[in-house]
Amino acid sequence: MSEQLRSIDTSLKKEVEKLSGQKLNACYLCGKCSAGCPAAPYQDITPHVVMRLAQLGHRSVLKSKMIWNCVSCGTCVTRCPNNVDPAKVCEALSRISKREGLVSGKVAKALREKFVESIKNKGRVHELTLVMQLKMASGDWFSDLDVGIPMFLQGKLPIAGHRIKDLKNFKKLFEGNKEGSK
Amino acid sequence: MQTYAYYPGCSLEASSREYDTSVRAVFSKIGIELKEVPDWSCCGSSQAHKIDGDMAAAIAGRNLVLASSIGDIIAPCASCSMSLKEAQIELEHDGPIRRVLVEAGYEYLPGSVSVLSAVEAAYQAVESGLFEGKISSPLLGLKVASYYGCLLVRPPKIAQFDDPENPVSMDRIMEMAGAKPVEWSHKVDCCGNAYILVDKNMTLNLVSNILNAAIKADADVIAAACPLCMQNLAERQAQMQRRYGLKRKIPVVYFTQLIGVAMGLDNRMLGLKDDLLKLIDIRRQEEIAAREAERQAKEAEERAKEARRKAAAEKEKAAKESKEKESTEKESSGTKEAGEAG
Amino acid sequence: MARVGVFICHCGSNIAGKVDVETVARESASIPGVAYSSHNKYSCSEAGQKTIIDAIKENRLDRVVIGACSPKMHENTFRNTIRQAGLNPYMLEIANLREHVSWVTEDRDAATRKALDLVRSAVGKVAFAKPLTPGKVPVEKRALIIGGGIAGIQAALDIAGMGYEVVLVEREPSIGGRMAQLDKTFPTLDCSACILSPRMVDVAQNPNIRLLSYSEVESVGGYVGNFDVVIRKKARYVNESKCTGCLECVSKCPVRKIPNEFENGKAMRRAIYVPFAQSVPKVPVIDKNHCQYLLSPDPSTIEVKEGERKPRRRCGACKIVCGQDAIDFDQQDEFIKEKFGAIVLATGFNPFDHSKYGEYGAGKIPDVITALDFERMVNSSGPTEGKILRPSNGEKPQRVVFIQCVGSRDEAKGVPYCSRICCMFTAKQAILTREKLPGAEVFVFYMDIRAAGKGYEEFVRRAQMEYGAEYIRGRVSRVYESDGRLVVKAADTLAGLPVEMEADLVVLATGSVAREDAFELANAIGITTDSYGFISEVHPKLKPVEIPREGVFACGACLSPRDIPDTVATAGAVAAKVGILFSKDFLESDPMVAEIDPFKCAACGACVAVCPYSAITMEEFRGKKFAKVNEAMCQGCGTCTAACRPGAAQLRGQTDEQILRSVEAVLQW
Repeated sequence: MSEQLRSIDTSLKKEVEKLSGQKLNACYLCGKCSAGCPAAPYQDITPHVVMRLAQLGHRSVLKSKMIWNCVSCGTCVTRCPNNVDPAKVCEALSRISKREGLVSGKVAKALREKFVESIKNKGRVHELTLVMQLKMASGDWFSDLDVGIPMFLQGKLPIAGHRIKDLKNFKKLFEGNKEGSK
Repeated sequence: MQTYAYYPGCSLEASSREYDTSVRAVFSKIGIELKEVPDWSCCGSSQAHKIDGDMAAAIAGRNLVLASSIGDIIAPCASCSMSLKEAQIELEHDGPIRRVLVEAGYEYLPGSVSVLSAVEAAYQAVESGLFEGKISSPLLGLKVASYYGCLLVRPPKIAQFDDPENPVSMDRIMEMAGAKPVEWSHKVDCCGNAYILVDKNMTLNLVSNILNAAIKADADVIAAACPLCMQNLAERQAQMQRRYGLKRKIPVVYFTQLIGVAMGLDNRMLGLKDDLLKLIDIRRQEEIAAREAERQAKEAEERAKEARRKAAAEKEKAAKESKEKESTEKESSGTKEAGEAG
Repeated sequence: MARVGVFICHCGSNIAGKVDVETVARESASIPGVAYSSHNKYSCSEAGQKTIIDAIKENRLDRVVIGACSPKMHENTFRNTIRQAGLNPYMLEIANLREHVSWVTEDRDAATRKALDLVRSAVGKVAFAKPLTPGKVPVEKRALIIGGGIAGIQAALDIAGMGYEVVLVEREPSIGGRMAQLDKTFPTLDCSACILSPRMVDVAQNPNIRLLSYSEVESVGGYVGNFDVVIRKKARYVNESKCTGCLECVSKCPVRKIPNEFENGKAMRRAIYVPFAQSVPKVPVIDKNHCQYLLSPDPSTIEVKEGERKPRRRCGACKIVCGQDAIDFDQQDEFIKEKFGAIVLATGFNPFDHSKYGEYGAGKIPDVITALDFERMVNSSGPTEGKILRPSNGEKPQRVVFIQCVGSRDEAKGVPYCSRICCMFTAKQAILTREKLPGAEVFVFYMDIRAAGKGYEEFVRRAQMEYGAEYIRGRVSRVYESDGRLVVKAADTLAGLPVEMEADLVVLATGSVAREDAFELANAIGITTDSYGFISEVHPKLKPVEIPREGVFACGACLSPRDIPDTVATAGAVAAKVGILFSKDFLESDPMVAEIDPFKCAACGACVAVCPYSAITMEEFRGKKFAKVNEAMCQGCGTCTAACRPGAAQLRGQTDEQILRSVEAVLQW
């Protein structure tokens, strides 16, 4: 399969810029973000390659794993010589990729979705449910039993979750503002 | 008596109870009242932001509103403190996030509330002398690797605390508690946080690097300030020994647990394992013994010096005396000669 | 009665494209005072100028309005034109129909109307113009050069070569600057000292050059051709005329542990010292902050009880061993007052302070050094006698990593610009490393390679191909110590791979930044710097060595980071500019300066207070006080004319009357 760059997809580039709040052209692809990213050695492409593909509006980036596996450590934005935040660009791309149905990071997607669902449910994260949902998503049920079971027995993973009193108003915060969200 | 709004966060309620209890115990002992934010909700951590930035700021912002009646917030979990700080910045200017909050019945007044992590609050307490006289059993000789992780100091524009490459606040706190902070290379390296559930292989690689670095620096214990860091570093050491080249087990605790020991607090509040308590004791004895040995060696040296000085003085005196004797003898023989001549 | 000639220029299509020039020319003919009006395609061309000259002569015009581009472009050109036609060159007014009309107006009608308004206004003003004659200012043919690096040295030699006197002031005990610190220079790999020392000696021996080393400029007053400068010659405590440079004193000095500034603090010097072996002048200096003798109190100031001996001053070993009796502990700073016609700034640059990079150890890791440290290390007269060794344990490194762009191209650290020379000196240092340590690996982490000079690209390729330096494209995120080695976390962006490698020595190619003391000097002289602190030139392309203050020039790296060829070239350029200035015995001073009518002057002193150039003084004549303008110093800013309430101060060529008439001309219609 030959893939050639024919032009720059400004519509995708503009959308990424708007969602991430970053000036993509400010990045000169020095690679310092990739150099310091803890997740980079385990991904298909590294952060600066994500930045380049975003600059080109190249849709292949939407299929990458990297955009899902950013661990939000903040190293890239702290050291970037041009004050760019590659983590926010990865974040924006992950949202677009979800919309387009091109998700490569299924477990990462599950993590954020289940996390927010859990908050929405009772106002606070219910760790036991969250862990079990993620074990289901990753298919890795058994490797952490030596950790999980003792925690459960110590009462560190309570079965009952705490329900906040003002849950009704709290849920309104998830509807987003009427003009559309970032 | 200073009062702060206390924001435990979801983990401290459940999986990281020791952090909650040790923070409460320590701050209460130094005269800081922690009042839990009424009906607080999840801050969103780093995950809510990935779904929708505005929504994440709104749900974190709710807690700022709820806290404003009490005062500034202390949030022990580094991730919570970062989410709350970020929300505070977003809410400084009017916009859709404030409007969403208002529509849900939460009115945010800019500048009404500051957010501090537990490390920040403890460091400020050290600087203002609140720990003076409270350290009854200092952690003498205990080598502590202070692990800051990511969200206490990065991004620097939001955290606005300490140095993002080489922070020293937790080290100073440990020093205050009598311990020996060690210089090590992975103070601010990421532990992978919630990705332990997503890509375990990646996370355990990151974690074993951090642990091995602390071991290389000859640390006795690692002090942490975030529930997720703590769990990642502490809970799977057996697994890492088997498959990720972890050299040995090393205890990982919350920094407030260590402060608590130094303050002589009841271990039921601190939740430390017996092994570690024993180690702390052993190090303390070793250090005391070492200091005593040093003191004795110094005294011996002083005595030796004094002895040498005395010997030298005696020698000089003896030499002087013999010289005088010689000259008097010469005089008398001289006079004798003179007498003879004359 | 004034006879104004109006000449409207098309400026090709620059003006004519928007403004209806024919209409403007036609309508201008009916403006009161206008005797002739025409339009021309390119007024500034030879043909265009000829038409103007002919029109002036044929129509007996006595003053001219030209509607054209900005006066900044061609005011001087057209002054010359009308002078050739026999008119006083100051009987000219330019209406800017390009920058002020065609370039900023969308609508053609509006543009044409505005053009007419501006022409009317110019006619109103020139109708009340008076012929002006430039003044004459004598020129003192002596140049002051501040800074004794290669820039100052070259400028001094060139200006002296033209036969003029030069005073070269250098703050350090020796001239030589940064070039004296280098080992080899790119791309020829010439030994730096070998090519620099002969010039340093030339400076010392040139009869036209007075070298004031260990000296600083205290104050600068005056104006072009007549600068009054005070130079402080700091006390060396050594008599220069007696010293033979044997350096016996240095060998006997007991104070040995002072970090040597020339070696960036990596080697020690003594309290009496010369900075380096080939110092010019080779006369030592006593550091009064460390000399035992000078720090001990003067016995004559101490009171003692009866029978007690006064404490003697400590040490004094240098004075005892000096065979020429050249040590003079009583020497004081000397203040030298001198007059100069021109001043040249050649103060050079500083390397970036890499302690700002926490990710590279914030300056605390011993095996992370700067390029300048490396240069001293590889220099055979440096702290390690030319051996490349790890500072931590003195062993030879197996792997040396060079990191480019440290303190350059970094917006987040406040240095967004490129320092120009680092790609080249890094390639050079990579070559030197491979030469001295053939078994060692050399890696260079870069973002781009900037090698635009003569032989430069070929030099970098040699480093890569002949000398086997491995170039990896990617910035380094972090360097830290582990197990006695250094870990370098970087990226190979071309392969898309993260990099983690161990190294024994890391060399940071630190960028060039402006010197802080140069900023202070600039303030003292009254010249500006850019936002980075580099001296600002008049125009970066067309006037690269001139400074907005007349008579002041600059060359070398104090203007911006640059290599030795460019530095030497600008030094020569400055010499030429000074030569132009000194080729005349008198300078024409701009006549469009302020003049104060002593009869209207109330001697309130407002003008004296507001003049930014301190060009106005109070004089007295037969009991009457009045303010007087020094026409050579006046820059014609007009501030005094605005401050003067009686209207005694007027700007020639921009009088109150002229300005009011030019406004009136527009309003009437």
